[in-house]
Amino acid sequence: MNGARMAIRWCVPWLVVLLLASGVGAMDRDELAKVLKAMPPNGPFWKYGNVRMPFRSKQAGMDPVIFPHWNHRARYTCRVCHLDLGFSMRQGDSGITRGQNVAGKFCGACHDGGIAFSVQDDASCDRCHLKDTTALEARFAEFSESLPMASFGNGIDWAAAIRKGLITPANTLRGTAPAIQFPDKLKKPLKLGTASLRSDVTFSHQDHFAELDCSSCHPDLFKIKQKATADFTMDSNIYGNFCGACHMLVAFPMNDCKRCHTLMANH
Amino acid sequence: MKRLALVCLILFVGSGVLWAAGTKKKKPLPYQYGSVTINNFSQQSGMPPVVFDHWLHRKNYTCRVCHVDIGFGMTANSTKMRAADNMKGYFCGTCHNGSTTLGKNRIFASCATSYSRDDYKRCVRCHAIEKDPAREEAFHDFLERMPRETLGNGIDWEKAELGGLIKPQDTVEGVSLKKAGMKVQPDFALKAKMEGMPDIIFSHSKHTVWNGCELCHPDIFVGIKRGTTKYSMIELFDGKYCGVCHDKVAFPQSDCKRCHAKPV
Amino acid sequence: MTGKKKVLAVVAAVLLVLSQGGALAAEPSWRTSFEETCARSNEAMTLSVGELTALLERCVTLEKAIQQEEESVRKVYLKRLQLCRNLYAYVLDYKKNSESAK
Repeated sequence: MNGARMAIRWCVPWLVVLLLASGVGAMDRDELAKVLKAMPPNGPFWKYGNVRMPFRSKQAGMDPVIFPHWNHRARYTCRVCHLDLGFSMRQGDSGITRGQNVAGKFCGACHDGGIAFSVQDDASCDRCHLKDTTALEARFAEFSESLPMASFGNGIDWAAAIRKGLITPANTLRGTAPAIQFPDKLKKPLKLGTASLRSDVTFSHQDHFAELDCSSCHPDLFKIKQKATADFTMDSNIYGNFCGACHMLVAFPMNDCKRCHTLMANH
Repeated sequence: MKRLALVCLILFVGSGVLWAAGTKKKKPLPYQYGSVTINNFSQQSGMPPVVFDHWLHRKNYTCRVCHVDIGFGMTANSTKMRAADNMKGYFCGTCHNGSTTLGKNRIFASCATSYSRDDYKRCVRCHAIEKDPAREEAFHDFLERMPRETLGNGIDWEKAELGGLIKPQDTVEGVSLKKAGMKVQPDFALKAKMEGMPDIIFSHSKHTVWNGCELCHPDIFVGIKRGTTKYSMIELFDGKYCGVCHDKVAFPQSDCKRCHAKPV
Repeated sequence: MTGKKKVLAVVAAVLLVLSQGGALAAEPSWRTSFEETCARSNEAMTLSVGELTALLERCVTLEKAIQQEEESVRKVYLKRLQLCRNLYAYVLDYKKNSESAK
């Protein structure tokens, strides 16, 4: 009896250290609360994934560009812009200039008066260099009405919208080669274990491949060797690593716990 | 009990390692892809490191001219060349000697023990750590004329040669040995590890056009019997085997379909 | 006077011999051997075991000769020699291996 009590006394501090250190799974309430607090609040649906680009615009005396991901991702998959057109995943890295847009690069690849309104059309400046966002908000309300609901992010379950054929984003632009054939083995959802069964993660390669290429995630974000992701913790994700590279900014945010931790409830 | 403590300790230490994993690395821009910074002796002799652009050289010469005939190593800073070597006509100085010509242009000379203000302009053509807008523009002018590719330099080099848009020179007078034509070894397929993933087609002919035999065998590929060495993408991404060139200069390995090309 | 002329003639002769000696040093004897030896790398796969063994022996002699040279030459030519020598050794291994398999 005494021995068992000693054992517990010995174990507990070590277990606390272990949990704090590894950060995987079974967090206590305080820890979880801290993590949730670190997440940005669930903002208005129409604003999620909008990127404000003030730097060069300001120098040129223009209003900042407000780029809404939502109305672009309805038409094109992520890979079209982030792979084929070379838009970086980090704000400021691409170095977009008006000159490049006019030359048919970046935005100008589609916004050429053919596929979409032209970057050279003087009457269209304020469609991107937005002073007033009320029109954008109204367009979002109309657009999202018929799409499946989600509780976070854009309030749209994009993956379900694609699966149901409600949106059919194009996966290539003119002349670009189709992606590699998707191996059957990857079609099965991937089960990722955590410290407790209740928090285990289900990951779908297929949903991701619908929008991306292998190279979007491998090997930078995820080495293909599973052990190489030893520091894969909720914290590091929230601060923009691993899944957090997209799932905090454009893809559904991680407050939507049960989208990945299928057995968990959202708080 | 002690064992549990030990396990905890190991986990605690282990969790601190590899913190940098899982972040999206900044992809080099097309004109930066294949750029190599060489800094064995530059800084200690008061010069900025050399920034070498592969794209500028590979459009005119095959890989083997430099990596076999001239003797450049396959990893940055492994050659340990000095200004003195270049001035004697070795390494860069093989062509960069002020007299060798490329088409109608004379190739500027590399390195000097003393230099005037005017000469210094020549130094910083290679010893240039600062971004040079002219270099970047030259790349984009060149890119415009080339068949496009999504990754790497944004150039499909293989197509460029097949289409005669580039005609890389395979010999340098007085350095390259006079060799007989090559009997090219046959292409072969390698089974992909993952089921449903297209098999890999390896083309000896595509590789020997630019590399010859001795660049890859046996330094990079040492296996004698086909199928005995197992290659994994993990090792390849770590820069072994194909990763010696692909990801660094040749098209990146994340361009899956370029190798996993056999129709299923 | 004639004595001086003689001296001059001798000096000139010595200089001539020296300068020719210099020219000889610029094209050392191992260069030809190196060129012949390493020029066969493209046909390595068609060479016989005997031919490959002979080439490898020449490589050993060449290495000794190049080791005597100054630093730059050593750096370049030892690297070049290593590339072709390793290839010959590799192909030789391959040939022996496939012969024993038969």
